[in-house]
Amino acid sequence: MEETLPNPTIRLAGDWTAGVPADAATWFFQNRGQLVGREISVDVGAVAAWNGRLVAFLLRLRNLLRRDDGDLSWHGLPTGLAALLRMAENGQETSPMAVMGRAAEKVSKKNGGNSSEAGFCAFAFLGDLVRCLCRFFFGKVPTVGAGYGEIFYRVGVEGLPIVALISLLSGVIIGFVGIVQLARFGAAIYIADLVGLAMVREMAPLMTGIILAGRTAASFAATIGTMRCSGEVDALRIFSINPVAFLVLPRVLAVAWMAPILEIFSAFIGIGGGMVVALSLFDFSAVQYVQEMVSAVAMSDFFVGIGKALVFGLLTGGFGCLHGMRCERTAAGVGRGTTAAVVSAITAIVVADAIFSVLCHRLHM
Amino acid sequence: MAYPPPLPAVAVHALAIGHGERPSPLVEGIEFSVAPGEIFAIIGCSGCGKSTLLRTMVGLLPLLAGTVLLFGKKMVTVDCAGHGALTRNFSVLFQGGALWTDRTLGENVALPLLRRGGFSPKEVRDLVDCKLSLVGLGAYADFYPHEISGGMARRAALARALALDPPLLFLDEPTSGLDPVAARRLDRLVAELCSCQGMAAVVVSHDLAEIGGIVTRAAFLDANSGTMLDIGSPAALARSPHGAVREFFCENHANPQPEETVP
Ligand SMILES: Nc1ncnc2c1ncn2[C@@H]1O[C@H](COP(=O)(O)OP(=O)(O)OP(=O)(O)O)[C@@H](O)[C@H]1O
Ligand SMILES: [Mg+2]
Repeated sequence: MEETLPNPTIRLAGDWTAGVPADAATWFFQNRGQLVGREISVDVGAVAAWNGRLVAFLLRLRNLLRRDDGDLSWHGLPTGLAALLRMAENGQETSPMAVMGRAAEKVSKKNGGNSSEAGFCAFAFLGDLVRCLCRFFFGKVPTVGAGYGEIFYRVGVEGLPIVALISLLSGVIIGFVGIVQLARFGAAIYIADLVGLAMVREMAPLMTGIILAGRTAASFAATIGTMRCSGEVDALRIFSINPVAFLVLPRVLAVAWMAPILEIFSAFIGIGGGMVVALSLFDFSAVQYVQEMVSAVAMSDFFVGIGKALVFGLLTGGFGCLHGMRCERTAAGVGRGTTAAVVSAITAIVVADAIFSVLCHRLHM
Repeated sequence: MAYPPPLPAVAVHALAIGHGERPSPLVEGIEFSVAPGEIFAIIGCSGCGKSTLLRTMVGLLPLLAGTVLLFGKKMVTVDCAGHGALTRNFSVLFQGGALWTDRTLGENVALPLLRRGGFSPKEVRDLVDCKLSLVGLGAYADFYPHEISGGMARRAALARALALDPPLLFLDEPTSGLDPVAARRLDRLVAELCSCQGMAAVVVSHDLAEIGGIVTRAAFLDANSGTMLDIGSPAALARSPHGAVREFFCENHANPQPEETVP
């Protein structure tokens, strides 16, 4: 390359298929001060090989020069390159309307507004959901075609194995930890009380809730989020099918209904796990164990557990669907929505559990 | 089907469209009305806002200004209470089809019928069969959307849009991506429905030559000026004073007119 004053011409040569050659890049870097604000022409005649990267380079160079009131012209272009440059130039000219709009949109995004869609805030969602639930109990929500059976099956039946495994191991762990301590005082039989109470009141609802949050909330958010991405939710609206009544309600009902059932199942499996530990380490009979447990676990404990599971289920379903309905309409947006669904569901469950503990203490339950 | 004759299916007045609360709308001053039985086309270059206009007219996007009346009733956005009642009057074929992917084609067509109610199960089955056959997919009722081609999905989406015999149908690029035979068949179907059932159709297209045969009138949107450049019958548009409009007609590609009265 060479430069002749006063009308500077840059002559490019060599192989440009791998981008800007190193020596050219160095030259441009060293001479960039002289190029600013000048009208420069480029002679490409000596370039041996080129591809789209040369096109991009020339366009970028010209844009840089034009920014400082300079300009770039080119000559000696191979015909193909000339055509490509012309097309790229034409495509660069966007309508002033669109450019203005784009800039404004960036501002509104920065301000946290996503106003292009009918706004979907958490409170509106909650209001809609509560209204749908009320209408459902008065039989005013059509259920046809919403696939209730499959959703219930997915949430409940397909959740059984993992709930069983986690609950069994929870029971075994509590059994081991407890029995070692209790045996020191010769009170090993009270392990039945410990495992029974712990499972029925705390562990079964908590474990069920967390499993539902991981499995079900994530699945709800991903399903509904993807349906929004692909325009399926818009299509529902056009057929005057309310997405909250059609997509959210069945899912929330399914978890709210299945969570207590899974919780009862989980409690029994966990108690079984504790019993296996106790019976294998000490020689009391299963009857003794069960009698001891029944004397310690009251019916109210049982209902506390079920109540917790119901609330955890509602939280799981609600947060899962909420994050599905409000996530961004991109692949990454659905991913973030799914994460947010799981995180917020688990957080809400733990917070609700703490509130339950305080309430139960106050109410002497 | 009988309609009160004086009411246009769609009446758009001084409409401005765009995404969000941008200071400048994409296109403004849109003004047209479509009578029952008419096939109205919205044409323009790719990205000029045709789909945006369509989504605005059906209430999926808020209007930035102006009004949209469907059979004399004011259009509102989907989250407003009155939208459900309005949807009884129209249906939409989306650009991508937007079939419900977890349902078979048959279930896709059946769902609007089931949710509307008043159809016996047998009637639903017959209607599904009929609508799918109309678009040439009678044998595919048990296929899932991911098991069929893009063009087939578009046709299936048309079958779904026709499920409830809407008096007004919005179509976004119904025939792009279809082979000429299937495209002509689809055009004929829409034309037939419009002439014998009095259905009004609003067709979005970037290719008037493709649907020119059935369209009665068309509006041309232009992104550069942000206005509706011209409106009229295809023949009138072909002689439009605007060069950008004339360019839409193949004959003008081959034989461009050098002088343009309006830039
Ligand atoms: N979700 C969105 N948010 C913001 N701007 C959008 C959005 N969708 C489209 N746009 C902008 O609106 C303009 C019009 O888009 P639209 O989809 O209406 O074009 P179109 O005329 O239907 O084009 P095509 O013929 O390619 O379908 C585009 O310039 C695009 O940048
Ligand atoms: Mg479009």
